[in-house]
Amino acid sequence: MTQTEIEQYVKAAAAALELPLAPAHLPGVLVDFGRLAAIAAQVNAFDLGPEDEPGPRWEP
Amino acid sequence: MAAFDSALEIAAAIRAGKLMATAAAEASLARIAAVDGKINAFTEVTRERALKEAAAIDARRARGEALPPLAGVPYAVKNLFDIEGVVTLAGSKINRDLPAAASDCYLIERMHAAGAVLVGALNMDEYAFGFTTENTHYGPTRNPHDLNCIAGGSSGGSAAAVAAGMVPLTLGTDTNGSIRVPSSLNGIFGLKPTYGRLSRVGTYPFVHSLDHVGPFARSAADLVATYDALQGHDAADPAQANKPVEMVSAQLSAGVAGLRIAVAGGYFKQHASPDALEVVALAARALGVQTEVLLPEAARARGAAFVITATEGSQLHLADLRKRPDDFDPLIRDRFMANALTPAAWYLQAQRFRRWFHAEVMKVFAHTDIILAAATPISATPIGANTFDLNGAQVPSRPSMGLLTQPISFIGLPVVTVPIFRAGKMPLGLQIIAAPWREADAMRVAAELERSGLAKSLMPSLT
Repeated sequence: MTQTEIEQYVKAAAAALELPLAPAHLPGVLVDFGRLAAIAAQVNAFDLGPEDEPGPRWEP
Repeated sequence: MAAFDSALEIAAAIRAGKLMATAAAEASLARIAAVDGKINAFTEVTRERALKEAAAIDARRARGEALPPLAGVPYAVKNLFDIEGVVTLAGSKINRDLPAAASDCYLIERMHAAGAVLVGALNMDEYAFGFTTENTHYGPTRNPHDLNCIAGGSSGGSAAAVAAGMVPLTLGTDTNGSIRVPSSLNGIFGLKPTYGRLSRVGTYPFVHSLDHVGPFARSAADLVATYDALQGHDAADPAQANKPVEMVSAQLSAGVAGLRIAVAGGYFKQHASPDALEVVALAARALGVQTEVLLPEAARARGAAFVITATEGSQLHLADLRKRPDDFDPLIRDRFMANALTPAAWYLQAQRFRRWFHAEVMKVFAHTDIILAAATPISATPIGANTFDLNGAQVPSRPSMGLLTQPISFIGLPVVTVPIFRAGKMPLGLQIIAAPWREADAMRVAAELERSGLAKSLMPSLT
């Protein structure tokens, strides 16, 4: 994600979640989301097959 | 009782009538009063409860009853464990508004049944989100071996209290390294059991699919005695596995014959400083280990743990992030807010990758029983440091202390961290990683390294 895309996404997602971002918090949130996006990109680049399902343990 | 007496020595002295449990509790409370002003490990001292529990032990002995294994041993817990009558802070300001816990959590019930005496609650990173215990609300916990340095986190108070000799045992939690990192930086023993082994009921959560609970101590025998006391099936914990209790204390003297031990290479060497590599090399030499194994895609495993942590950890606090963001610790507030925006696709990719990585690591355990790796990339950093140097690169200090622990807890493997001291240097711990449910194997290796003289806790000067 580019810096512009990060800023656009953060503002839109926060609005959708009804999460107010105060002007004092926004710069830090953008930096932290940028770090998260970079780490997630590495994970997202890995090819998984349909058999690779999450393993939550749920015993109703 | 001396400050560095072991839990089992204290219990034996009480059982033999050489020490009153009340005197042991008083000694621990006096040590806390004398040194915690320098360390800031405790956020609550439960003096009245401690003396009452200790008096009950003395009364049982006076009646001639057989005493349980940890009878009269003082201990304390991270302040996210429910203690009856005490507000469960979880390191936060926000939780101060909650009512006091109505009852003890499951693991405190187990410790009570084992005769242990609770003396207080311990400092931590807010909501367990951090590796440094630089808590803005309650102040930083200081490393007993260098008061200018961090104690690690998020169970920093739990590790520092043991390292400083205030108590011989504590309990903490580990989601991405929060038992192993502070064990490493404070020079003590820590156990993160297999995910699902011990009940988490009555502990304030951080990341449900990654949270573990476990003990800290200054010796392998104390660590395993506590682990044995904590085991038990709790139907109220939806993540606890249906496994039989497996007492490990009797296996400590078994040695390491028959165990196939290897050193983790690749990622685990690339993200370790020369100091950390030296610790692993010393352990490998002591154990006669020459084999190296690779955990495939370990960097991605750390990344996936990071994404799962971000998503679950922030969603838990979304309502408060909306209503009262300024009441969060400013050191983590912006990260919580950013993490709350994680797309679902990223989270599910990370959870699916978790299954893939687990299957690959199980292939390694087909020919290996134990994997050795450093617990932290470097030893304790100065309080307030925002970055540290890792092999020529400046990395952010608060998330990076978990670089070597996160890929392991990501798939719930049991790990014992043992302390290694070298002359003139701060302690740095070794992770002894076993296959799922094989805590006993890891403990056998820890005990062997302790017998060799390499793994040991040293009394700090506190100057």
